[in-house]
Amino acid sequence: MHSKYLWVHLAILGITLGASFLESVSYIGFVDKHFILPAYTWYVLSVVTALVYRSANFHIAKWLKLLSWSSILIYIIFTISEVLTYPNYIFTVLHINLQALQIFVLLVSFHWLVSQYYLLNTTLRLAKSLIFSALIFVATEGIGLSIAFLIKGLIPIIKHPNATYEDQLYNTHGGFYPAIQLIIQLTPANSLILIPPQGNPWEVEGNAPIVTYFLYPRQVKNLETTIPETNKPIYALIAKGSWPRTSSVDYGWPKVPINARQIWQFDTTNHTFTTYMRNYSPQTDQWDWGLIEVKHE
Amino acid sequence: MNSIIAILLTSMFYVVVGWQLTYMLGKISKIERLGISFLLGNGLSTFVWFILYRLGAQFDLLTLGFSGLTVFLVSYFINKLFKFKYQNLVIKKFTGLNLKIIYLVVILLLISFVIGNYNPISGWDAVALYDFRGHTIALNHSLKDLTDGSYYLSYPLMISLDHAAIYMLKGISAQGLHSIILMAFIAVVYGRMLKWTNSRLSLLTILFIILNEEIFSHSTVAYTNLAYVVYLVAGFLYVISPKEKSRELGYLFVGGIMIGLTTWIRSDVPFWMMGIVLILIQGWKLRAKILAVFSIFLIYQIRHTWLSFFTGVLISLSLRNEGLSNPITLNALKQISSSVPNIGIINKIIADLPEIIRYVYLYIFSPYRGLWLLTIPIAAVVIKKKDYRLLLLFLTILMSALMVTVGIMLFSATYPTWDQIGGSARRMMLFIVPLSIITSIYALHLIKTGRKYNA
Repeated sequence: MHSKYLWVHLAILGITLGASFLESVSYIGFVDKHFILPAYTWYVLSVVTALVYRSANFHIAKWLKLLSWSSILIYIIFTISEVLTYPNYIFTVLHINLQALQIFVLLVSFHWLVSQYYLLNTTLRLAKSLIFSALIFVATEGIGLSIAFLIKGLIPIIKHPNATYEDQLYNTHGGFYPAIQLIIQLTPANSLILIPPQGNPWEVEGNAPIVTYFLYPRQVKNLETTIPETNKPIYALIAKGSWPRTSSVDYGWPKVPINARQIWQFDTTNHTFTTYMRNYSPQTDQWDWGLIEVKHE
Repeated sequence: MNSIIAILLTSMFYVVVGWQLTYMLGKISKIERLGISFLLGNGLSTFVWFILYRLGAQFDLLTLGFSGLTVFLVSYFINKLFKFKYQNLVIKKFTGLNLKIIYLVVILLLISFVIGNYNPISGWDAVALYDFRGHTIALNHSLKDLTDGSYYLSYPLMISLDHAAIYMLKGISAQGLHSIILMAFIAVVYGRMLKWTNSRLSLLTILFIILNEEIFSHSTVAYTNLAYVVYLVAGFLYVISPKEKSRELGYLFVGGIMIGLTTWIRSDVPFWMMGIVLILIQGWKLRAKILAVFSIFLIYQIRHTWLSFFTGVLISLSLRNEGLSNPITLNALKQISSSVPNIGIINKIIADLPEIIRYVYLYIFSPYRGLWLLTIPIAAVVIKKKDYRLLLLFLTILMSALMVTVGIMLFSATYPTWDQIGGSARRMMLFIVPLSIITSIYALHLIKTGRKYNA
């Protein structure tokens, strides 16, 4: 009885782990496509035989423990590598499907744990093994992603430990933040600032709530067709578009001539500007960053 | 440095404000008391601050101090009236593996604080909504320029008032406060699990929660998602804490406040209803019907205070005929006015059912598949061990699954762009992470001890 069930259990366990491993190095559904039964059938079958087979076998437990810890470690390393490089990095380089590998980790952990709790009754044995293995399943992913997150978060701090909040804003928002600082310098607090329409390639500089955040208490508005009538001093942003172009809309804004008192061309690297006392023309003045002081009609 | 000092000062203020209220929880550890008093102090003092503003006061540090004093004094008189006393649960010294786990937890929480403080505030809503409101409130001492459209009031003010307090104290960035919110939650979960299980399992629970990347990363950004999860799950834990015929009824009251405060963080999600169901069950089971009704009244009152203000702003906007073209305003009005599904809605749901199932699988099941998987063995333990607290925890998970599915169905019939915000749906379910981890480790403890009931 003991040895007969042992061999049945071992055979099904072998097929199960083999099927899961095959799907890890190919894709989920591979076993279903190329063999008689889908992998999930074997997974369920192996759970049943593991529960029926109740004797202690320390050799099997030892090997499953080793396999479990190795697969957990490999999965964590792969997850960290993937986050620190690019999505699908592991599949591209090693042809290993991380989602399927996670199922492999779950199965190995489950079979290792279920072999430990052979004294418990069947329901509690299943429950305890499944809870532990599902927690391992969740934690391996969590640990990998969290370590990668910590590395990404700590590297800039270690590189620039004395950076101020202002420095961080300059680093995070590229040309946009220096341009904003120059606008604050050049415009009164009660002015109206006209910005490009929200969309590609003005994803940030065309986003009125985001621009308002930096320019408040100045009022910010997306320019539609005509310059709005107001008693406030009006300015219009000159912006090429800081996002890569993905639509049919071309770089450069404003696209129409605007009567101006003066226009400023920004040098966001050196935080300086050049002043021109003339009207704005899209032919000559579509700079990366600049500002127009609009002449009231 | 200014930010760190301002954040720590604000946090200490919240702890002092909430301290007296924790007396009604009976014998709890100092760690848990610190955590829950911070959360209660934070939620209640900003809420009273808002009420004072509605009564004509300004948002400034003096009125914030007065709000805190009000909460403190009311709690003091409740303690005097009901004879609640300070009782400290002494935690044994950590040794061996437990000590290593506690070191790891502390290091991770400190790193979260460092990253949150160092990084500039980023992300659409964090910048344009929560932090912007904090800055303008600190500058204007009012809601000037925030009531001109519905966008700036699309979420309640708690997080923004936190930010405003920090900016009034000359802090530069308020982002670090969000890791303090996580610390407070971890303290609460540790305290609860220590009472329900043992030292090792309670430490493992908090480690598993911190090591969840979504939870950890949210503690370094200025969004409302983490704060919502913290108040909701802590609220559930307190509501289900008292056992049969226990005299620890203060838990029901504190749980009610915490669940009510979730609506002071996000008013657009309906999970507070689960809290009401749990309070009703507990009120019936513990023979504390009046207290249960009072706790539910608290939830209603907190929610209603914000919603009545928000609805008032929307109505005044529509009367001025401004902001009505704004889809957010229209959706908000629709949300408030129509909650009963009609035949048209039901037909639309039936027609969209395959798409809804795909959506639920993609954004609700798949991102948390390991955690949903846990419900199967938990169900087995519920049946086998017949533990009342585990049953309530399991019921909460089931209710959340049901509620989110029904919610998505109704949402799909009302909002044409419903299938484009899968990320929001996923974040909305973030509370399932700590809830499932707590439930499964509690179930593990029951299997280990084999006890039918635990204190």
